[in-house]
Amino acid sequence: MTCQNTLSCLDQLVDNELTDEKKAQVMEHINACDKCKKEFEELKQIKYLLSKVKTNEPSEEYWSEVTGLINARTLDVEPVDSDYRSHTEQLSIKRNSLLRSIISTAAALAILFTALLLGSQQNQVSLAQIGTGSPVLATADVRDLLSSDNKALFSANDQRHLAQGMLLVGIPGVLGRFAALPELMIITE
Amino acid sequence: MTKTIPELVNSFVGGDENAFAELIKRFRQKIYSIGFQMLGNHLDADEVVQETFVRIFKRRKELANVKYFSTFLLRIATNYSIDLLRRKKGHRIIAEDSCNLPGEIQLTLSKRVATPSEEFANKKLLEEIKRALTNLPPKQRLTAILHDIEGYTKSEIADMFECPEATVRSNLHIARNKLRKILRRQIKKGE
Ligand SMILES: [Zn+2]
Repeated sequence: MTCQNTLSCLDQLVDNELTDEKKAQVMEHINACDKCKKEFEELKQIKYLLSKVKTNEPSEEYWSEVTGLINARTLDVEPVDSDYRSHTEQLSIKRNSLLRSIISTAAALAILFTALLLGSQQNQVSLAQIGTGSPVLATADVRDLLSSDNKALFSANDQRHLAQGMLLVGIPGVLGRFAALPELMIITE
Repeated sequence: MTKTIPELVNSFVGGDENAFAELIKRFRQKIYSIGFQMLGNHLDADEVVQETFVRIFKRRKELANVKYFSTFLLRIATNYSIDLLRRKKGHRIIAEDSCNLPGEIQLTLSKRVATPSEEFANKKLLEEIKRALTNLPPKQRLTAILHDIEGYTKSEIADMFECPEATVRSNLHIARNKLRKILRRQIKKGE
């Protein structure tokens, strides 16, 4: 057995992969050769130390948290089969969210038109007072906008600004909500 | 009755969420451990665990043609660990000369570990080897971790890496030799 032969099978020796016969030959050389013996001892040591490296097991709390996160992250994943259970669940979640969008959009539009309507009524109130002395189209709500001496608390300009503000806030919001529509159409097909 | 892995995989592919949960439960610690040893901290190990299971979920269609679920899963985990390590370390390359050390440096490792009374030295050596591992290139590091820490066989590692067993042997040999040299140097510095 030469040094070269011995060194070439040191890994197999420490991994216990040699036949008994081969192992005996290698050990015989190692016991007689300081250079190879040193290499062998060091390699054995490395393997021993690595075998002592351990990973702590995380807590049950961590595992239940991480399992929840994995489940949440796989919710949006396109399933393999079209009849897969969570597919219908997913669709119903998306439909509900669209419904909520439509309702909130309608609510935003309602507020916008109320603001515009208030603006026009205010003008009519002023006109009516000039003409007949009593407000023709005024409602209780509009009267709240008048001070005790029947002067408008909000000028026509204020109301125009309010309406413009509503449009600025409202339009991107409405567009944003309906931007999700194409995605939903694809899934529905 | 406890379900076998192939039974669970079948149910999982068929859309059974409980089977997926059970598979996570059976493999999570293995994946966590590989992530932890490769990246060296809990947060990155956590990322490896999450990403591995999210990816297996996305690719579950492929499982019908997979022989061993564990190999497929561990391949995803090891590939992701390597990617993450490369992203974290950027393009850091270990200087070659760090491994060329004078032959006369004496490594007294074997004596220290062999003596049971030298507990402190053992602990210190354990820290040293963990540090030495971080100096290896990703593939060699992973091979040493999988074989010598996690206890996978060379053929299992070859299947994970989709490479010949000879490549695993050579990676392991290079890794152990580098560890030996790095450890010698660290011990020399510490003295
Ligand atoms: Zn020799």
